Amino acid sequence: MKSSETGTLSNRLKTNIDQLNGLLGGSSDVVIKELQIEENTNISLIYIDGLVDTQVLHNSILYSLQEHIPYEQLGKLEPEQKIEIIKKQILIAGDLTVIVDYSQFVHELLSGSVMLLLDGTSTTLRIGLPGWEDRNVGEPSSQSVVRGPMEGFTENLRTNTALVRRKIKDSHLWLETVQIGRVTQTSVSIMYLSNIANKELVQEVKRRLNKIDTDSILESGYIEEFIQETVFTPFPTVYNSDRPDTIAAGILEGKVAIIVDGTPFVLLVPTFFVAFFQSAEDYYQRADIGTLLRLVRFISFFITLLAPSLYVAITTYHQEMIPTNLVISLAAQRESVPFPAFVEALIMEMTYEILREAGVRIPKNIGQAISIVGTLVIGQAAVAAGFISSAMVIIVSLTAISSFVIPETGMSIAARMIRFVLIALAGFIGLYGILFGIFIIVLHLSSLRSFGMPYMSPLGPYNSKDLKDSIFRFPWPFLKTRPAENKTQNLFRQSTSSDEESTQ
Amino acid sequence: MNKKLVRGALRLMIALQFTLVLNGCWERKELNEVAFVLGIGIDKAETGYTVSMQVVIPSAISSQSNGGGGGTGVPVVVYKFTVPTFYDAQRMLNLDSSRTSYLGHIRVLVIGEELARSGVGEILDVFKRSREARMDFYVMVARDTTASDVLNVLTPMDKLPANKLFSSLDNSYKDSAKTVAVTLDDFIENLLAEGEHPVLTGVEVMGDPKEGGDKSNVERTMPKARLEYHTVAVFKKDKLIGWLNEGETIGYNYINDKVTSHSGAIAGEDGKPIVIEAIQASTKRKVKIIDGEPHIYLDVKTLCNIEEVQSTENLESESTIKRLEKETEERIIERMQNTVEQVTNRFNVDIMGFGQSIYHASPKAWTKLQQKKGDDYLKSLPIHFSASVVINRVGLTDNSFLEKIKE
Repeated sequence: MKSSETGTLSNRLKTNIDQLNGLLGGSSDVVIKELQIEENTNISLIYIDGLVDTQVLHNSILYSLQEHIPYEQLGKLEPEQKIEIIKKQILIAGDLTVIVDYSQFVHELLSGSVMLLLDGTSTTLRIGLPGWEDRNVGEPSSQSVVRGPMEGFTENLRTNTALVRRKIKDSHLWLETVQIGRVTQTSVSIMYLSNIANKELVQEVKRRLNKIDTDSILESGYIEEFIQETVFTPFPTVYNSDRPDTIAAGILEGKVAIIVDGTPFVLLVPTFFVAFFQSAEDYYQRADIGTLLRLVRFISFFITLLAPSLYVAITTYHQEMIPTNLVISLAAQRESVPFPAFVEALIMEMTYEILREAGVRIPKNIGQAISIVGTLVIGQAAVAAGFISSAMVIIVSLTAISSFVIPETGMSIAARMIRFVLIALAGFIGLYGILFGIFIIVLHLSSLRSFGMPYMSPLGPYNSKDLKDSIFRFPWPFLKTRPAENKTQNLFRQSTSSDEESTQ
Repeated sequence: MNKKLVRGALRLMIALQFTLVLNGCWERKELNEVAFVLGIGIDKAETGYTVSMQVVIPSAISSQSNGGGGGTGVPVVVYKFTVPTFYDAQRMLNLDSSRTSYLGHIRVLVIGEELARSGVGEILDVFKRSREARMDFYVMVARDTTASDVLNVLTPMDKLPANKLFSSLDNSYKDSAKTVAVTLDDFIENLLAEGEHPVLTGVEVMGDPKEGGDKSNVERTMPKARLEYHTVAVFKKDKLIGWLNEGETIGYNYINDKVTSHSGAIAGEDGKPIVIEAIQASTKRKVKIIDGEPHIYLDVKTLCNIEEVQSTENLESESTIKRLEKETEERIIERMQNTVEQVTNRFNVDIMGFGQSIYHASPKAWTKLQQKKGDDYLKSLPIHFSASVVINRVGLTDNSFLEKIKE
């Protein structure tokens, strides 16, 4: 079958249709409409039902083909010239291209184009008429904001690129598209500002995308795993977002966006550790609020990571560190708890993870059941039954709530995973173990790279200027430069007195 | 080749992770497996010591207890052993109690007067040596009673008697300057320091100590047995030699710059009292060597408020305030002088640490002083006192309404 996909189309309409039917196995959604618009002019319109806008097809294409035919002329012409006439005089409107190559013909057909074949010539007209059911542009679900744009990416690549272009109306916003996935033929676009983004970075992104050899790309997560530098790390080194404003902001900083057809989640590279603690809203609210919120997120990250392990370590190894009254109250709570604090923490954390996973997967209409059972089981019954101390419940809930503060789920999942390792270390060797764990995490983080740029910058290779918009968020008039870590061609976003900006 | 090496290193690292487990939770103690010793009392026995340990019963303390004791019963239990060394007491506790003792949360160490008089140095080593005990708990002397009786008394406000002893010493020291709060660390430091001797607050059992251990003691508005601080013990080296009364303690605190706040009454023109409270006080101590002789200069600066007025004196006039300030200054100086006199005459022990100040200012002068006068240097040491008092506020009213009360 593969061999028949190559080569060019045949001159004979019948052969072409037979060949196509053979190739597609006579799939029932392939519609082949045979028309005779003039005595010796037979044409066929071929399309996949559901992928094209049939309304327009009937009202405009079929109408034009029947009503606007210059019959007197057409009969005498060669098939090649007929195509020319159809293209130039009959089907005036729309997205038309001429196709000769057979594999391209099949690809376009399966991508939702209407193909017009004329008996006697191998030249085919492709009429772009996409019209499948699409989700409307809606509110982004994963990173909601109080203030800021409320539109999110959709599953449609074209809509997504349009959403970004609507924000950046600049001739340097370049878009390049490739097909990845031998079977799925998924369109993957990269978007960047050609006068700002580092040229080597763009080359590297293209190189890594071209290297991907797989049968399918169904979501941007596939791409992420193929192009990331370090595979075995809990930390995400590629940022993803379904917010056009976040992606546009990234592009303006000199990053490269990778948009994958079929998913609202757009990738952004290179990515740094601090980026996961920033929300689009930081830039829309006043600067002081933005800074405060970032601080809250960092604190929440550490609570998610450390709270249970610190509790375990301190209550089992370092009781002298707890104020006397508190230690007595904690001891009273633990009075009838049969497990060591370490086991208690593991049980509770596991219970919480189970509840959380159940909450995500459960059908919405029975979701309430989970929350009731969860609250009762964790909050009340376990404590009343005496096998969990209430302090542990507080710790676990605090950890759980803190994990939701981190705007990007990838980072909070990393913290949740590492948390278990730290609890184990705390259970075996106390604070020393936690310190040991943190040491390894910091070493690991410092060794990570995202498209060749150090992951921890501007903290890792320290850059005091970039702190303005990483840990803090300075007011916009102070943010004159783009982050140096992106190694952009043009560092300045606002003109400065000493350095005159050379804009296009 | 290189890949093999990396893989080997990785395997080694993974293997090393397992060594973490080998320590087998060394030193792990669950909160419900330890007995928190909050107070330790040490008395002299015929042979060795009588050690009392006040251990908290957590379930009796917490309002919310999971099927534990349920908040009934006494909050603490006192274990008492007569042993040759302190460590034996800890081991004997294991024979008696279901939990291992934990010294990390000691709040107070009470020393019986008898033991204090015969010397405490030997028994303190164990606290300095133990890795559990923190050195920031307060040390006190049980006056006219035994440490074990002190720890036996249940207290109403603070369920834990040791906690009560700790916080009330902390507060009385800060609010009234009539006690001294000395942690074990400070005490040992003073024992070792050149030219300084330690002091400790004395705790007394008011009422019948036998009744104090009963739960009924805390079920009365006026408990039969109470714990109060009144006097301060003076040590010579590690032996108790006498007691300072409250007035002398205030003077001591002024001299040593340990007054946070302190109040006293000054007579108004009509002889009725006006209470003045020092809300900030600091004492600067200077040592000057004049003609080879060390002189001590003490300068007290305080900021005061008028807190209570029974006199009808006109507080609106500046001259009154000036007079009150002057009298307060005199009072403070008088207190300090009195303390120095009393200490010199009765004990001849340098608890004020003048010797140490001289030693710090000029080690040579100190050696000379020691050679010339030995331990009697205090008697002839010239000390110069000065004080400056500023009355800052007089409260919400100026003159007292007393004058306007209708006939």
